[in-house]
Amino acid sequence: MKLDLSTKIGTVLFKNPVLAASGTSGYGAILNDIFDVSQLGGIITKSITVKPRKGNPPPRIIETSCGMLNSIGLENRGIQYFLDENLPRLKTFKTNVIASIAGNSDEEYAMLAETLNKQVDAIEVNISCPNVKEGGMSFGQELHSTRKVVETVKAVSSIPIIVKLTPNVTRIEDFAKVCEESGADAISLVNTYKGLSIDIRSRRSNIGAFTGGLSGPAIKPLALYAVWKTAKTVGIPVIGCGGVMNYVDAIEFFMAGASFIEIGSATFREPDASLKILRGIKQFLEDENICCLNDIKGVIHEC
Amino acid sequence: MKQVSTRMSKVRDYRAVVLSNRAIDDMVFLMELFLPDFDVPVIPGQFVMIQIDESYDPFLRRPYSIFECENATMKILLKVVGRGSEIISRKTENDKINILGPLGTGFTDDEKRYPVLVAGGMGIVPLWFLATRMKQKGMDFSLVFGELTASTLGEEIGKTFQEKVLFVTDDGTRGAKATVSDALPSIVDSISHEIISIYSCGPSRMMQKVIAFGEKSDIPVFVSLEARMACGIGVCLGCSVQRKGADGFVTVCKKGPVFKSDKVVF
Ligand SMILES: Cc1cc2nc3c(=O)[nH]c(=O)nc-3n(C[C@H](O)[C@H](O)[C@H](O)COP(=O)(O)OP(=O)(O)OC[C@H]3O[C@@H](n4cnc5c(N)ncnc54)[C@H](O)[C@@H]3O)c2cc1C
Ligand SMILES: Cc1cc2nc3c(=O)[nH]c(=O)nc-3n(C[C@H](O)[C@H](O)[C@H](O)COP(=O)(O)O)c2cc1C
Ligand code: FES
Repeated sequence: MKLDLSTKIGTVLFKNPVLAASGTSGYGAILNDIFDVSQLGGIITKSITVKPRKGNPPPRIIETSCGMLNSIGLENRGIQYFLDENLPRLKTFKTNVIASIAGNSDEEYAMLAETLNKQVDAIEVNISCPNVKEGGMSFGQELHSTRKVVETVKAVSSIPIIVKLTPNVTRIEDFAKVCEESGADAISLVNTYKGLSIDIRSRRSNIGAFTGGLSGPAIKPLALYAVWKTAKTVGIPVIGCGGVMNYVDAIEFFMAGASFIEIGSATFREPDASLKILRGIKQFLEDENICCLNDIKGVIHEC
Repeated sequence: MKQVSTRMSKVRDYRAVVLSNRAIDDMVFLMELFLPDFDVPVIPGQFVMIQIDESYDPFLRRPYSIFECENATMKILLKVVGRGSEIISRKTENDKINILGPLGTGFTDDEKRYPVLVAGGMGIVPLWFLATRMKQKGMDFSLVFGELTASTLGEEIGKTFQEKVLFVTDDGTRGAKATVSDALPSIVDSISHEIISIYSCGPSRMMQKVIAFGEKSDIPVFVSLEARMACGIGVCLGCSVQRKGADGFVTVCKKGPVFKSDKVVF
């Protein structure tokens, strides 16, 4: 029996469902010095903005129980630098390149999507960053704003559009539904959960920008639930993200209905975590005599 | 002396075996590790990310400077300051431990300037390594070591680098009763060399004063910084410090931890 891990978003084929998450993988090159990133299904870039952003004041991270808070604040050198300096190298990897974009307005999202159209294999629209004052998560917390961004981006794109949702809403599945109605080709979830950590001696936040976003194993059950809810609500592929540390976590996400997974903070514990997870998935499917991911997608029994 | 990028060296997650681990002072441990496949050059000032154990709590690795490295044997000097370091300090002979490295930039030698190494407390670690290398090469240098009170570590430093070491302690139990930054001007005055550069590692406030002295006296200062880290390789942008004289940040793990003092504000 030949194992087939390939999956599609729109017309774009991914050789396997393991993607390196945005903001935890740089632009692929650093990780590629440590392991062969071409083996992954795709690499999602750090979110790109129109103008360079210097990001938030340090400290930007603090460890928490089974996870961490971060407030990087979308530090990046802007779209032009990305096109000139990061993209050429990214294109040399034999894997799909997904550009994550973040804007302050519908116009900025449109400009980014238009510029990147056909330069990359797909776009992930980040409307879920909890660490910036303007834009960011606010686009993902009002149904009408979400609809507007997705429609705007779709209007200028011919490549698949993935929308990355924030879990900091009451019913994430409603946002997924709106994205689907607005033409999104896939949904990814979750971005980080907004959180706080306090230094009791100084009575200050442990994060320079005060609040941060929680990631890691601490959020996995929450993310899994959000993915399960969303996968039942929409027909387009769902990309699961949040605390995936090993192949068991990955399989759980598939069984909850995800077609892909993104590996985020796990990369900080082991730079080649995504590759190890991919191998673990293959091994599990072989051991269980399962030939393709579709056979386990959303198979969780609901009593 | 310039900083060297470590482009050439192979960063890997090495499976290390603990050869020995012993307390040399209260809460300070010297751990000797064997990394079977490790054969890359290491520059003093570089560091490794140590995985605490299999558990997800604590979640992140911990950064540690390389204290000594000879072929496949690496030494780490670790002070217990919290949960992660406490767990690592309990490793014993034959325990396995994952070591990601070598990471970051290091110090390199400049034949033209006389090196003055200025260490405060555990800041000695990268400078011990630098001093060891200089000693091996037969280079002349001075090492200023400051601590709160005379420790076994201080004694070891004295035994190893002998007349090259100048001690200061806050309580006067070894060397001058002073802080490093207070003693530095007169120490530098007493050095017969005219053209020097300073290499410093220690508490932030100490390094800031050392930098201020360097600026006043026209002496180039190189500092090794600490920052909270998640990835240690430059992909998370979590460890950034402010650039000096320019808007923006630089990563301590990738562009540092060794910086020329006119490059960063911390
Ligand atoms: C480049 C570099 C080299 C270092 N070299 C050495 C060394 O040779 N010997 C040594 O004893 N210590 C060294 N440190 C400091 C060491 O990493 C911290 O003491 C350790 O991370 C503390 O972890 P903990 O869980 O015990 O403390 P906790 O306070 O419980 O840690 C909580 C979080 O804060 C971070 N943190 C706490 N203190 C520091 C610190 N001083 N610097 C950076 N992050 C910190 C931890 O990594 C962790 O994420 C170095 C740090 C850096 C950045
Ligand atoms: C340090 C850090 C930086 C991140 N930066 C981005 C980003 O730029 N864009 C984005 O969409 N998500 C970003 N994320 C969110 C991750 O992609 C992911 O959604 C989240 O961390 C949850 O997954 P995890 O638990 O596997 O880390 C970042 C996360 C971390 C920890
Ligand atoms: S620790 Fe991740 S970039 Fe420095």
